[in-house]
Amino acid sequence: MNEFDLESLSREMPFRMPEHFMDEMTEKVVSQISRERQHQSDGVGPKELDLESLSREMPFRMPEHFIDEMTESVVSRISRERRRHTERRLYAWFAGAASVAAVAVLLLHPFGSSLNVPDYDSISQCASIDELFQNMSSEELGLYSMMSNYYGD
Amino acid sequence: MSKRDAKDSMNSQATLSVSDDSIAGMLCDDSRVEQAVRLIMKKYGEPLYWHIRRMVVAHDDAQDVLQETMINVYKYRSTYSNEFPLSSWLYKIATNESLKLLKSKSTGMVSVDDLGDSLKETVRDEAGPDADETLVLLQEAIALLPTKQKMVFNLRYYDEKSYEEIHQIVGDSVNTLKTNYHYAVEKIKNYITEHQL
Repeated sequence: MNEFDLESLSREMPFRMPEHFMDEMTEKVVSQISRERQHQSDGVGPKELDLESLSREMPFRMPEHFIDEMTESVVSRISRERRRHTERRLYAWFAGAASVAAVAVLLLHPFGSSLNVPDYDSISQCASIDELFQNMSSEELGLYSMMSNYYGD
Repeated sequence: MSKRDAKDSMNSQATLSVSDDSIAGMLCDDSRVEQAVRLIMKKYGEPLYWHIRRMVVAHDDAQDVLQETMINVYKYRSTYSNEFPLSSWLYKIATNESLKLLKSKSTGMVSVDDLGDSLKETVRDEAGPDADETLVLLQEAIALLPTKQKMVFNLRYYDEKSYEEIHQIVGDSVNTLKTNYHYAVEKIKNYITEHQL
């Protein structure tokens, strides 16, 4: 495929400039300039606004005592925030202390020794299942047979 | 001047003479934080109010923004660094809060800058009937400026801040700020010249 040769194209534009455009534009510009010059010499033309000469005053008003009232409102809101913050810290402190106390009670209270936990050491020391049954009291055997009937073998 | 007025005036003078370093010190001391807030309101409350009002235009909005500004001063007081003047820190918080409010009002628009026309209308509503027409036109022109140009213009023209201070508040480089101010002035001059009878 041949590469398109841009250089070979004409530099002519596909648009047209209106007839006498340049002459008319020149006249317009020249007459505008002369008008401006005339205005300037007459002192009538649009003067450039001097921002520095304007007052810094605002066209709005601030309500009377606004700053004092706002100060009180802000200070009371800050007091509320501080009180809430202190309460939150106290609450967190109490919750932490209560948790520590609960854990300490669980660890230190002699619940462990009074619980009826089977003595797995003595079971493992039994020579056989038969020996285990021989060591059982009549009530334990009764309980075992009742449970066997209930759950099946 | 009555005895009471004279006393108030003396108190005000005493407040204005409290150094920013002292106020910043109180702000970090939990037992004196409320005193610090009172001093800040006395010394900077009014300039901050007008800085906010020039941004958000409506008084009710300026009231909300000033209150949030002061609450943030309390909340984030530990982030204040002595490297910058206290006033720049306060202006920065006030500017951010003003922008936050404008953003909340510009939901559904492309950017905060699209609020220009609505802010311009608010200028007319807020200006008193006896307001100077040129000053109202000036506020309308400011309302139509892009936000960055508006901030820079207000801080330079009204608050007479140096470009270094504006840099501390707005964050852009000094050259960018100068360019923003220049464009703002040109736009304002054109607007007033076009609309003045």
